[in-house]
Amino acid sequence: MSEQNIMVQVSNLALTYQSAEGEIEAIRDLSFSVADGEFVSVIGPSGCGKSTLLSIIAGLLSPTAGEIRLAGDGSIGYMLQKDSLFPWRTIRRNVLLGAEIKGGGLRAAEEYADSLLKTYGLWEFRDCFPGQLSGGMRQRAALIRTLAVRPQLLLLDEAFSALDYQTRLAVADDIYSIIRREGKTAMMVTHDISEAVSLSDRVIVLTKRPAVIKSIYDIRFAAGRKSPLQCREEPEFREYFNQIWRDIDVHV
Amino acid sequence: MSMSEGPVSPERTAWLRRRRRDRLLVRSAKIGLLAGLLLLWETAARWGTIDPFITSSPSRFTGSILNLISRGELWQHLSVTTFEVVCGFLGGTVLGTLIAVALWCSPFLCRVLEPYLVVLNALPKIALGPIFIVWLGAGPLAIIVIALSISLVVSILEVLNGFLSTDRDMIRLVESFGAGRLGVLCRVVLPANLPTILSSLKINVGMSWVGVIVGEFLISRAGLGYLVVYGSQVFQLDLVMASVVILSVVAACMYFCIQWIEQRLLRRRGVNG
Repeated sequence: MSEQNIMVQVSNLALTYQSAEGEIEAIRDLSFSVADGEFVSVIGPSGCGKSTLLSIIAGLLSPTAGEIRLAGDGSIGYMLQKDSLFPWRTIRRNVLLGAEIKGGGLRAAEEYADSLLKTYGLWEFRDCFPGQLSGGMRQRAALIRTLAVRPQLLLLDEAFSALDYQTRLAVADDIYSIIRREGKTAMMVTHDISEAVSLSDRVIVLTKRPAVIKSIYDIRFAAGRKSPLQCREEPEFREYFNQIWRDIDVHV
Repeated sequence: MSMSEGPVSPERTAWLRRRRRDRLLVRSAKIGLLAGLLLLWETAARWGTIDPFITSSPSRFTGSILNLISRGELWQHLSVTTFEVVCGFLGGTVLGTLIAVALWCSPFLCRVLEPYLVVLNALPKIALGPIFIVWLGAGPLAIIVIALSISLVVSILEVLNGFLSTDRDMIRLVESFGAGRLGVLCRVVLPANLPTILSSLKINVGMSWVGVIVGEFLISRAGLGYLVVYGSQVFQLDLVMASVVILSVVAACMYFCIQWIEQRLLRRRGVNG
């Protein structure tokens, strides 16, 4: 993969929190890269600093040491666990939120957002308020809101965790196919091993705090890449699952 | 919820009939309670069980109200009081929200002023009434300031609390789009807290009534509060009761108006932001 264009280069990243009780070393010396068009998952025990890593890449937190290099204009789109659609805005106005904040060329942004709404079946719901949509539809609207600012890199922070299991499988399939279709690079943080294996090209396993890289898996299926739901049927799926499960090393 | 089409089942007809009967029962009991109490009051006064000179009676205070209307005094007192109340709760809510915004914008200011707000909140603001009257003169301005002072501190605390508990993820989201502090305020914090501000407005209506009536007791120039005090001083209980009845009707009307506005604003949640 090293021949491909690098989209994100994380070098020697470290983050230490300061609190009244003392210092908390969340991340220690993390280095990895994500190629253009790749789907990478970061997985690890809960509280290991996975979400912190995404916040740093998104520029919401400054690292204590190390650096992050983003290719191109470095624009990112952030998707959180909850869809965080604003209940006081219609779906269309929610989708336009990023463009409004970034400013400049609102007309072009509107056209692009409208085309996304049409392509992904939300056009007829454009004037609805989020409360009138199902959980899956809302998550789709949240993705379109993220895509509407034309990000080069998508960051998904436990993006499906708030949904019930059946919806979650369907929405993961749905969101995955949209991300692939739009040719976006994506980094997903999750605690769900099956989700990571079924969606990703590569899975990065982190240790518990302070987080360092435990292992990296290239996810390859002999039968070729299919939809996340179908991937779960492949013979390799169980092997990857078991390996990662061992790496995470959960103690109850 | 799926509604079954076609013929209505006998169970449903029975359920609907039972529900209609229940509603009718509650409604007639509501009206009956008021009518019964008024009737009891009136008959007790007529039979001499109670002394209408001290307790007044429905027919006597109704006469007082009609008398006030015919002399044109009712509108004068009513408009004075209503104006003061509206100024009090609007001022309290608007000023309270503005101060809450300032405190949200500056965590430093917030931490410095916190103990002062706590003490001011605990203080019975009515105690400041005489001070306001000395400073601002015995007129409507002092009354409005008394009403405002009662609602202001609670509004600040209430609205600030709402601001501080705004959904973290929504804030993180607009920040990831590159919004600064002002952007977060205008796009998330204020619209997300419209329900909080409106509920604080609703509470302030009640507070403002208390402030205005107490202010009119103290200043005794005009208004429904003045009528109550004046009536009691000249021992005209009919006038006192008439004022209290008018007060309760006007206060209830105002409350329902505010509630209606609140529902309108929150139903069309698209207008803000």
